[in-house]
Amino acid sequence: MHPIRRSLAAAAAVLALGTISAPAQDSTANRAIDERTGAAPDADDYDDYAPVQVSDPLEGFNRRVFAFNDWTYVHVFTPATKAYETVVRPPVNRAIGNFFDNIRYPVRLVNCLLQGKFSRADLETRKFVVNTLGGLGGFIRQSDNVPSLAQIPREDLGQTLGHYGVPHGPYLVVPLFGGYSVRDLFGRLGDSVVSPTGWEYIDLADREWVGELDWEWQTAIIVTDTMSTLPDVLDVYGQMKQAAIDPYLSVRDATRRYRDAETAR
Amino acid sequence: MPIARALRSLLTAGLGLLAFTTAPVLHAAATNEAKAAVAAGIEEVSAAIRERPHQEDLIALLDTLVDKHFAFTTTTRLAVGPAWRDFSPEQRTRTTALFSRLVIRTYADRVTGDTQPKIVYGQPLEMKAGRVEVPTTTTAAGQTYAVTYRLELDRTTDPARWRVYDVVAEGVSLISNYRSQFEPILRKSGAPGLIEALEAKVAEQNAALASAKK
Repeated sequence: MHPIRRSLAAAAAVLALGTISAPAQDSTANRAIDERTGAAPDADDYDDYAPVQVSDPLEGFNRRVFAFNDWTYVHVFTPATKAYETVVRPPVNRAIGNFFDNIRYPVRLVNCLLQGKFSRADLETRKFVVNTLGGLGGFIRQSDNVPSLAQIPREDLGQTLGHYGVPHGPYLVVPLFGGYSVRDLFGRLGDSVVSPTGWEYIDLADREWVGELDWEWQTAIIVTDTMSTLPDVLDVYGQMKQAAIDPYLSVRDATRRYRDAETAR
Repeated sequence: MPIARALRSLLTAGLGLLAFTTAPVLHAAATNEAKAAVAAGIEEVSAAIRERPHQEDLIALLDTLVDKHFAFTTTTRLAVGPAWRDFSPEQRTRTTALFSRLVIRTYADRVTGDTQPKIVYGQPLEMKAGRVEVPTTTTAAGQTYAVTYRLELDRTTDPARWRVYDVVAEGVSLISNYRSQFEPILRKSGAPGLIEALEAKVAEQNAALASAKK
């Protein structure tokens, strides 16, 4: 059995037993505060913005990887992206991005189903059909023109685990890939089993139904897939870094809050 | 990378924030008025940007608009957290000035004539007396984000006015994000340490601005 499948099976067993309890998540937006309105305005509203507690036992190591990633983004990825964009123009690159997003439909579908979100699974299926048949195989995101399909929250395995109360675990900065909680990193690996582009992470030999691909093709797929999102990622990271007093903490906080908001949807 | 969307939405929220700074008084009950006001605000900002293409002029312009429509003292106080109680009045003023400069400059950088977000308003929610949050769906550059504005009622003026004090983009709050960065600095070296860090950041931005002009 493939190691990742084995760990997935283990996770499923844990979920079935329901032995993991959700950490108490404080909602800053909806707490009952009416009884406090008589207080001075700056008396006790600090709790509304209590920082999220991100478990980060490896902070020293993570910061070094973060610095390494930062260097790579600035000195390798940014020039590479600029060169790539002179060959593959941004509109074409966007279409490629749409294509890869569309064929990851199985990931979203499976995780909708795992969470019992059946109407969302139905919408995802409609979206896939609309974009595949009406959008030239997924290169054009026709679904944006259908209001009910324009904003379907994306599900993934990290969210499914969160949905069933699996805690995040420690925060890890992965070389080149950026920051994840152990839960979300595990989810990402698990999703790649289902994803048609999963060969980025998992040996194809174990996926007979896809068949063997030459390494040239594999490389081409990985490069075009990565390059379809990389310019945006780098642009945003650069802006974030520019705004932050401590970019490491800024990214860590944003990552956690974004994932929690996504999981709650 | 999941973080990319979160980060991008934060920046997009910034664009919306600028639109908000020019919007007339917003009342929770008057969502249609708010929608019209923000549309007018976006038009006003776009016009200002077209007329004043230089970054420095734009920042000066935004500075004057910010106090009218943005409660930066509250933003700064909440970003600092309970340690604010130990700040002297001078330290409070200085921190607020530096922090608002940092935020305005960051977002002003993103504003160009062709990035006009499309904003659709949801149902406003009263969080407590004098505090309202307005959820929106903001679309910019083909991407759609959930952006929530939090406003407080400023009763020191006549008539009282609603001002934005926080922006929450895809679950990431501007205040929370800075508070997580400020906390270790405050724990280690208190108000002087934070002011020093903010000064260093603003100086870094000044240098970047100066080298961009050359």
